[in-house]
Amino acid sequence: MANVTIIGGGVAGMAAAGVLNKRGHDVTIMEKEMQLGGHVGKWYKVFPDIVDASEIVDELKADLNGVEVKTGTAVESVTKSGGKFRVKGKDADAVLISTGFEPFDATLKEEYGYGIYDNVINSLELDEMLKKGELKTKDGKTPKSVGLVHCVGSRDEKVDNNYCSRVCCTNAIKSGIEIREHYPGTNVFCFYMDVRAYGRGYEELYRKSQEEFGVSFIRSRLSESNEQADKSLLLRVEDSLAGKPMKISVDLLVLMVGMCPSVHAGSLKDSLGLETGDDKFFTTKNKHSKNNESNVKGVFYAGTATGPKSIVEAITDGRAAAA
Amino acid sequence: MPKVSGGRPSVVHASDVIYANIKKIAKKAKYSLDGIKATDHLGCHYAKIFPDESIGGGEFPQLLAGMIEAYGGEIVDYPERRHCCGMGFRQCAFPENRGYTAACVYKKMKSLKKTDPDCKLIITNCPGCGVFLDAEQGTIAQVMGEKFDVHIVDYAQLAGLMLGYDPFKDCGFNVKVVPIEPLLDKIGIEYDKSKTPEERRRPFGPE
Repeated sequence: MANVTIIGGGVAGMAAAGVLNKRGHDVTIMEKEMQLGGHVGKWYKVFPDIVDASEIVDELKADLNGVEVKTGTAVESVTKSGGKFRVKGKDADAVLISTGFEPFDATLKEEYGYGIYDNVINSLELDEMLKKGELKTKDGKTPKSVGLVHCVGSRDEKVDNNYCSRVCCTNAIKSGIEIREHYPGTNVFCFYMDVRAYGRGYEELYRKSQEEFGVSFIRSRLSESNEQADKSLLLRVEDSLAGKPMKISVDLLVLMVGMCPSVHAGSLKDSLGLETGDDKFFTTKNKHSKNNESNVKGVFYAGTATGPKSIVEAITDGRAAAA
Repeated sequence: MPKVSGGRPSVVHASDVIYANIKKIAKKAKYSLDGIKATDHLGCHYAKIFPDESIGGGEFPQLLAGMIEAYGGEIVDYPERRHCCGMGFRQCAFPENRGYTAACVYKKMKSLKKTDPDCKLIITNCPGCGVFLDAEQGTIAQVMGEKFDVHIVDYAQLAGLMLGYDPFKDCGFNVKVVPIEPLLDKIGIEYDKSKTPEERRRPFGPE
């Protein structure tokens, strides 16, 4: 039986730990935050079935009996000698990197006004508002209209992120449904490039959001947003179906931010000599058959460390890595 | 200031030079913009074409806003802040297209008035913007009967005013469509009130 250290206790890391634990390996999870669950642990409801994110985390936690969990432990480097590893003073035969992602910093798209205007928020802040049941503009009013901007920091050459973050479209659809469900007087406009609702049940959710909840989808790109005297936002968008510029006002603008590699991924890369792709996520040995193995023997990957993934994909990937 | 990099020549705009020395100029200034609301209008050949070289980038250039702040003014942000001044030779050079020029200015002025009716000052760093934002207000007043009276002041004119140069003899405010006197009164700049506005504006050629 092997000693396995898992760096990152999000859903992928927990899923992998659960399987390894069942197989009788000696597993340690090192998590930089004070609790397990990663990003998912902080979220409200998740697609496609709109269940509480905490349920998923609790279920994964149930499989962790006997796993050593070290929270509040940020791993910056791993030393390798022979075929063994040393992580934060602990020996390991194998290391699993499930360091996940960081949300894209929307201040880099300054034309959208995040961090500049009062009522421009990102998708994580929207999730927090929905969790608290307080969808409000800065001055405490329920917005009459909300704009959801897709692909903020994804598929964008200007910020050097050419990849699709995969989950933001369906997250926008889900958020639109939640807003319309709890605040029927609030109109929701989604400004999208393409809707990439690829997973099982996602396309159905997209249809449902329009047919049952009346979420409006406008195929367009946002050029810039401007604050008006009443703190609402005037959006200049190009309607890419009509090929014409248009203007629209919304009370609250939500930027659906994409995924970027975790900040700790860089130092781990240097200490172990790992490879990353042009997208700055870790490169796997083979994209088809060895998608959890790194270029270093004994170092494995799981979850969004190797590129954006949905929750179900991250869990599956974690279990695949364990196998 | 823009750097010489990658073997490219270092090209700066004259307004960059003023900006680089703005603290010194503000220190020497006789007047200030204290309590005065103002906004900027950057020439498109400055920040829109060279966002990497311009001070503050393409979206929120700090060049003119920084000057306003250095003189003690308050910056006003309004939705049509980045909208075109309407010059563009395709519009202004063809009489049949001139309506477009006026429409651009009208859009900007309406937006500024709606956002902050007290903001009556726009600083520019392009001669085209400086002329058209001002002159088309006269056209709008004639055609629509709507007066905005927003003073359009070039960064160099502003520096001149602040340093105490004569608004008409030195700073060229004799050729503006929107009369500058209300702004001078607001700042507290003295001028010969015994003369009529026309006398004040008499061309200052050689004696």
